[in-house]
Amino acid sequence: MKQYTVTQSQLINPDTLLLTVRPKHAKDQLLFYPGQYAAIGFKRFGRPSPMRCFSIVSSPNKAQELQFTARIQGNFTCSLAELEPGDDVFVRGPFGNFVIDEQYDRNVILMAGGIGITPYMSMIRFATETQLPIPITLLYSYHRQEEIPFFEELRYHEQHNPNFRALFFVTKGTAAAPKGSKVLQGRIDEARLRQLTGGHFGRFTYFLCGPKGFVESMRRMVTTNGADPSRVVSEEFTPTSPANAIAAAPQHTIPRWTYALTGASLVLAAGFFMALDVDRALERAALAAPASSTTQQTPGSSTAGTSQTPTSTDSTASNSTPVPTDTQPPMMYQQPMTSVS
Amino acid sequence: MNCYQREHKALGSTVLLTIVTTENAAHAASIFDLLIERIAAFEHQFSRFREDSELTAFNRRAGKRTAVTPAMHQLLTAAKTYAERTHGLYNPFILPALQRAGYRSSWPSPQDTTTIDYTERHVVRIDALQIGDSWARIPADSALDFGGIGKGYLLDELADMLADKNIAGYWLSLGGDIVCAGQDMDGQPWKIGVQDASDPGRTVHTIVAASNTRTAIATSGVTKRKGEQWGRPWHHLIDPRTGKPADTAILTATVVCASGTDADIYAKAVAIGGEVPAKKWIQAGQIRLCILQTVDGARTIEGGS
Repeated sequence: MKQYTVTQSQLINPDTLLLTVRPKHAKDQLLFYPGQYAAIGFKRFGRPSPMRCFSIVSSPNKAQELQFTARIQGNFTCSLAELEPGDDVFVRGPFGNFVIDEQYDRNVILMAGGIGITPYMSMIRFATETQLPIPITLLYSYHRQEEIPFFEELRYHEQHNPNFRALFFVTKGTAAAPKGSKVLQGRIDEARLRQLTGGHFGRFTYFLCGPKGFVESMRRMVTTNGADPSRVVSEEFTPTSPANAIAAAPQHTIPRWTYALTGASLVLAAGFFMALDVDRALERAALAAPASSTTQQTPGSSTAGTSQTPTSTDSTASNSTPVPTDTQPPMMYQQPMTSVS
Repeated sequence: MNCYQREHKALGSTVLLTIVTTENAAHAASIFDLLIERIAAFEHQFSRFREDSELTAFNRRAGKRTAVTPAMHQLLTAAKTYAERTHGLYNPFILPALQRAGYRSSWPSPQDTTTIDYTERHVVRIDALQIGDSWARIPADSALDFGGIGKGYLLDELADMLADKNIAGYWLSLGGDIVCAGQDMDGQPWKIGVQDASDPGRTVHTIVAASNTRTAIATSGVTKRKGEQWGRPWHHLIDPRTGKPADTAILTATVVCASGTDADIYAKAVAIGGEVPAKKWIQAGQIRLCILQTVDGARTIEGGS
């Protein structure tokens, strides 16, 4: 577990958080490949949160800081969004094999849907910084142009990396392409892909990232047109994605013998109290037997008979008499009355 | 037919839950547990007296665009809608003024709660509340409070939860705000007393609720949650237009509406705004009935009066 400190927390569009963290010590620096992800956790009211996985957005060349992007849509990400500069976070990782192999992948098409852009940002930043000699084309589908995360930055990379180009597809609202960029109305479709690849689908390595439906439809589109399935690499952003594969990590390492002793003591204690209960119940049954010679009273029946049962289902009960309540003893029925709240 | 009732302390007041059903007590207990669980969750999320509530976290981030949960988003949207509908007589931004007036801790258990000081902040207009798809923002020098809407809003949620529970009738009270439907144990419509503003042991009016539809009743006024600060009396009914405790001749205003949220909001708006807006809202059908109590006695306003 590596210890980091939040240096910046900002919303890059209404529901997307960009969290920047810095390692507390040099030994905490994470070494990763662009495209990998890591698990993040934090302390809330002194207790460790579960750990959730998020793609690393920053470039591995900038080891002094890590950036994660998360869509804010649940308790965890809402809490994550509340972190402020100076707060501690814990990082585990890196994980995943969603990475470009420079020897194998000689011509790359990155296809992103929604927040699926995040692992690509690390790849694209890294490619610009190192002037990676691999042609990379990004096809990015998003609802509205004005909400596209990293839009300006992606345009910057287009201008500073001759091997990189980006095409944006907006499915809602109006597409308006600023000078030097391509923003198209509609979804990523076969015709557009055929145009890009020159019909030679098999010459490219495809990276697919986004919602499950998006990934599946893109996979179908490229493989049915001749792409080599081994060159179609995908990462889905779904509840069953690797993000959930890592459970909450304990903050401290506890030796196994501690667990063993704790377990044994629990078993012994449970056995002791069960024996005590049986003993008491038998004693009570023996005392009750002479008083009810014709009926057999089972242990505990006297209490079971009164608990949570209306003591009176008196049909004549008016609103001023005690009414059955679900708690013992019955309380006096209170009349509805409105008063200053 | 059995009538079950449970009393509970929450939201700084007494919660009374009553249901009439043919089912047994265990069934009733499971329903009460469900309702109380929801009340606790609501309080945990929206109390301004809790350090760890979403509302407190939201107020801490005043000035910044803040991600909100769907429940918070809905409540914010409702608060904004009602503030606009009442032309500012209800305003969720009155918290700093409320604290400056003296109402700082949860009532009646100040020792159980935390006072988070917002007295340095300001009351702003509802236009300042920005609500996005899953985020919201308030001005940096303001603070939100759901005290004026929360109970009514929660009552509607609780009533919705009872829809498929095989219940012949119910009435639920959150500190005097009531929502009811169906019939009592004798098959009669529920009869709700209106507490006398001058003598809490007496009622000045009895409202007979329609049994075939939901009825919500709320009372607001200056007779409760009051005190003295720096030698000057204060009460919790803040007039958003002045930022000070309302200067009103009305001791209490009781309204009957179709939903708990309506009742909660309009009771306060009428207590502050008086008879004129009350008549307007009655004509518009937003209030079914209104009972105003002043030092001269109680007066009922209905459609046409």
